[in-house]
This record gives sequence, C-alpha cells and structure tokens, in this order.
Amino acid sequence: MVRAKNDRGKTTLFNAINYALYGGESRVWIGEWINFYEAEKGDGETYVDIVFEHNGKEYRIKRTQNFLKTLRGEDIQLEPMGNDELKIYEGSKPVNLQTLQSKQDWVEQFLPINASQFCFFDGEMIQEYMKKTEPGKSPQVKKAIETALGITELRHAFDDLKSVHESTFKPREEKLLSALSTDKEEKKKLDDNKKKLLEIEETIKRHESEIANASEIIKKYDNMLSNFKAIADKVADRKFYGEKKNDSISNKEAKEDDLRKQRGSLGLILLEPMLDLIYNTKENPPSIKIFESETAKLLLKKLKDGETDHCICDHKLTDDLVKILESKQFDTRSSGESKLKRLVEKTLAKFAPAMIRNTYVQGEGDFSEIQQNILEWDDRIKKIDSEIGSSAKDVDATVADYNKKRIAAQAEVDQHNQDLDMAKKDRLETEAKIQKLKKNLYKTATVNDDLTAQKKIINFSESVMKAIEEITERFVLQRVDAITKYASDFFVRTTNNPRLYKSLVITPEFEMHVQRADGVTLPSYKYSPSAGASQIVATSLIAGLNRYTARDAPIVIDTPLGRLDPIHRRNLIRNYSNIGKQVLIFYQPGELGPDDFQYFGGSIAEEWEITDDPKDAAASIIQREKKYT
Amino acid sequence: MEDPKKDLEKIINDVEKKNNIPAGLINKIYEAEKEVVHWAIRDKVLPEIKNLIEESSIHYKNGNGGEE
Repeated sequence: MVRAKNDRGKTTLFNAINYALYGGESRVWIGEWINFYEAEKGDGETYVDIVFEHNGKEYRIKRTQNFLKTLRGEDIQLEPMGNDELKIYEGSKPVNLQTLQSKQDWVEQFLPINASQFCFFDGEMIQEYMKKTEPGKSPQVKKAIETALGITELRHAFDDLKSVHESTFKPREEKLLSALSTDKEEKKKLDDNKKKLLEIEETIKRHESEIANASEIIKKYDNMLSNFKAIADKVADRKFYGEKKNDSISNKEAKEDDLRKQRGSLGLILLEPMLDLIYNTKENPPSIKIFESETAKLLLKKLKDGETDHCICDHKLTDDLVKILESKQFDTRSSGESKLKRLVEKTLAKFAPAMIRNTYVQGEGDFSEIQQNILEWDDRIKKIDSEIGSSAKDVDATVADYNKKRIAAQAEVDQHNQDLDMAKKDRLETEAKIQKLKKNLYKTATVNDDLTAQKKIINFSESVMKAIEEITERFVLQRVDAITKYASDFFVRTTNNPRLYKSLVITPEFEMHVQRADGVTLPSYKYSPSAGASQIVATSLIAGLNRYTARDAPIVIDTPLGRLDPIHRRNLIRNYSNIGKQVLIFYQPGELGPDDFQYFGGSIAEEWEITDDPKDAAASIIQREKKYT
Repeated sequence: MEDPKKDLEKIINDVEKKNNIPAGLINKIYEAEKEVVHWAIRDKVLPEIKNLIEESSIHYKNGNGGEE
C-alpha cells in the first residue's frame, strides 16, 4: 500500500516503473516527467533504478535520460535525440548486451509491453478498456491478451514452421523430384505451375498491399472526417460564442448609455453626505412643524380663494378641520438656513441620491461583467479559431470531398477483396495441380534416400503444424473457460448488485459480455450503468487474466478506488488479494480511509507513504511506515 | 495462482502422442519462440525450428518417405 496526497508523486512513481521497463515506448513522453526545477538549473540526467526478483533471482534495470538546461515553461530538451541508456544486471553482474533493442528484448522476456497493460493500470482509466473490447475496435487487445496468456508463442510457432516448410522443405523436395524424374512433360507442367503459383503469390501480395493502402486511406479520411465532426462542432461552438459576444456588445452599448445618463446626476452622489447632514440638522421650530404650518397656510388660502374645499388627504375641510389648520399656523421668518434646508428636502425627495448611487454602482458592476464576458467569449473564439486553423473555411464542401475520397477508397478495397478471393481460389487450384503433378513425378522418378528423407520431413512438418493448430485451439478454449469462470466469480463478488448480474461471458476472440440474472447478455462495451461498474467489469477480467497469465508480474494500480461507490469499494478491497500474487496499490487518503483497511483481511504486506521533502520543495520522500509479518 | 505451463504441457503431450510426434518437440519449439520477444529477431528462430524438425523427423513413425 502506497499512500500519498495529490501531487506528492504517486503517479510519478507509477510512471517511473513503466519508464524503467519500457522507456520511451511507455505511454507518456519522457520529457514531461523530468523535474523542471532541475532542468532550469542546468544540464542533468534523470533515471529510474529498479530492482526486482524473478524465480528467486535478483535483477536490476537502470534507465537514464540526459537532459539539457531548459527555461521554465519550455519543452525540456533531451540528449541525445531522446534516446535513453539502459543498464541491466543479473544480481550484481552486468548483462552484456550491445544494442538498446537487445536490452529491451531482455527486459520484455519478463513482461512484454503489450501485456503490461493488464499489470500496470490506472484504476480510473481501466474502464476505458471496456470500449476497446467492442468487436473490430482493437485487434491489439486480443493480441495483448494472447501475449499475457502465452498463446502468442504458439501462433508464432505455427507461422514460423509454415515459413520454414514453404521456403525450405518444399522447394528442396521439388528440386530433388525434378532431378530424379524422367517425365519431361510432367516436369515442364510442374515448373509452369510453380511459376504460376509464384505469380499468384505476387498477385495476392499486391492485392493485400493495395487493400492495406486503401484501408489506410479510409482510416485517414475517417480520422479527418471525425476531426471534421469535431470541427463542425467547434464551428457551431464558435457561432454560439460569436452570438453571445454580439449580444454582450449590444448590452454593453446600452449599459454605457445608461451610465452616461446617470453620470449627469453624479454631482448629487458627491453632495449626498452634505445633503444628509443638512437634512438631519434639527431646526427650532422643527422642520415638521414648519412644514405643517406652511401646508396649513396654503390650504387655508386655497379655501379662502375658493380653489378647493378639500385637504390634500382628500378629506372635506370641515369647520373642525379648519380650526386645526388655523392652530398649526405660526409666523416664521425665512432664514438662509431654513431656505437651504427646504431646498435640500425638495432635492432629496425629487432625486433620491441614495437610489441614484445604488443604481449607478450596480450599473458599473453590470458593465464590468459584460466587458468580462466579451473578453471570455473572445478568448473562447480565439481558442477555437486556433484549433480549427484554416480548415473550417468551407466545412461542408471539404467534408463532402473527403467523404467522396473515402467512398472511392472503400470501393477500391471491395474490388481488391474480390480479386483477392479469386487469386486465393486460383492458388488452391494451382497447389492441388502441383500436388497431383508431384505424385505423377514420383511415379516416374527413381526414388533415392534423399528424396525419401525429404518427403518424410515434409509429411512430418505438416503433421507438426496440424498439431500446433490443435494445441492452440484447445489451449485457447481451456484458458477462456478458466478465465471466464474466475472473472465471473470475481465480478459477482465485487458488483454492487449481485442479484441483477449472473456472470461474465468471454468469447474465444476475447470479447466480453455481462450476463444478467434474467438471461439477457450485454456486450461489455454496452454495459455501463456507471464508470464505477465498468471499472469492476474490467478489473474482473484483469483478475482472471492474471490468474492464468504466463507472465509472473506484480500488479500496480494507480488511483484504484476514486470513482467507486462504497459497496463497490468495500467489495473490491476484499478481493484485491485475488488479483495477483503481489499487488501494489497507490492511493490517496481520500479514497481509502483507516476504516477501509479492515476489509483487506490481513493481506497487506507493507504500507508506505510519499511525503514532501521539507528540505527540497521539488522532491518527495517515500518511506515505509509498516511491515506486516 | 494457476500454473499455466502445466496445463499447456498436458495438452502438448496429449496432442504429440495422438499424432506420433516425438515427445517434447513442440515444447522445444514453444520455448524457442518464448525467447523471441521482438519481431525483428524472429528470423533467428527459423533455423532452430528447421533443425528441430529435420532431426525429429527421423523418429517420425507415420512418415512413409514416398508416395502417400
């Protein structure tokens, strides 16, 4: 168990194991792994030194990459030309191999790179594997599984024996036969048919090569068209952001107008504190009394002039009310202060500077947000522009053109496939003719020991090829059966819904299906109730493969449980020890807490932690915390 | 963990016996292929396979050495 908080070097450690074993072939470019603090200081070397045990023997691999001083933010420069240096040792003795390739071959005898995907994986990414099991999506997956199971060697054995048979044994027999036979006519026929066979082989090769080329073209246009789909999506995005930007610009202009108008009243905002001060200054008599007196005087005057007989509150001015109004009157001498106060009162009532201030501040905020939006839409548009490049000038026309070229390439493939079929039939017929001619020649030939021995080799070689085919078929079926059983058990033990799912089904082509309790079988690439559930299916297959693998390797899992729900998590923890002989789990404290450790049921060997180095901000320390006996 | 080698060996022995192929030959070819981990050096195994077949054919009981 290796625990580390984010960014402490957990994935770096995971990548380091991959890099030590597979160098530049391992997924990510090494330049991204080099410590840029160190590269900033000057030229240097980065290396991974790994020691492992296999069948009781200790081995050591040290892979080194030199780098050049690089400014921060730039791609780190590698020396020489990105090639790394590999040193390997058996015990303490260096293994004497000259080329990098031969050293790499030595490393891959333990675990070939394509099989390593079932041993070293990111828990959160492994569910992507389910998509690859879709038929035709990745023949590489089948190859990788066969490599892990030791089936690839059987297939190679058949291919190589066939190659020796065709290129050595058969020509040798035909040469002998030709020399020993007296039937010139049959010999000529045999030679003609052999020539014809060679021509047919050439034709087959040509068609196969044409099909491969046209398939590459199809692939290229498919990629380009899928890019175009992405481009078309991007063009739509760009249009959307363009409209957003235009809307924002209109809003900005309207808001600017508003703010311009509001700025006319900005003086009041500046004066507001002083107006408030004047407004709140008490008078003697108080302002309210003065206001009442002035109002009473006005109403009484209007009553006297016959302009109204109602109060401003719409009550009829009765005698009683008139008496109250008369009692409110008093003589005041208008002073400068009182005039100022009346002006302030009127101004505040009419313009409400507090409201103007609030509206203006709000308007300024809105304006700034609109400007921000415009910048954001602009950024997005520029980003999309750079992604699209110049290819989106006429998307529709270009897509149509690519589609046309793709269709033409497909027609070419179809035609070559037809021709290839014909050529293969022709080959079968010619081979049969050659066999017949050879039999005829045998009748007329003076058979000697050499020819007898050669014929025996031919028969034997054919028999061994047939046997290897049978062994391969039986071994694949046996492995598929065993893996299916183990992966199914593992799946049922780890799924969060064991009542709904019955088992996993794996075909001899290593396509995987999930069988529900109601009998319905779904291809695993379609079974995806959640990313976590897919992760469980993928992990079950990996558990099955590692149970029956021909490669004795540890399992290293980075970020194993991040996306799983509590039930999946608990079940998986309980079953981790069934995935492989040795399982290394690189986890964050957040995905595996102390309470979860009970589910491991005593299967933990050691606990390690990666922490910051207090003396060096660019370094981490990996230390063992516990070792269990 | 299972021992995949044992399962394969059992199948190989069975098929070799059934086809009168000298015991251990296919396993030798298989072991030779196991050492070839990179396609670029696969050619190296061809002479080895050729020799194995030629040597073992002497003991091949079904070989009639002439017309079938």
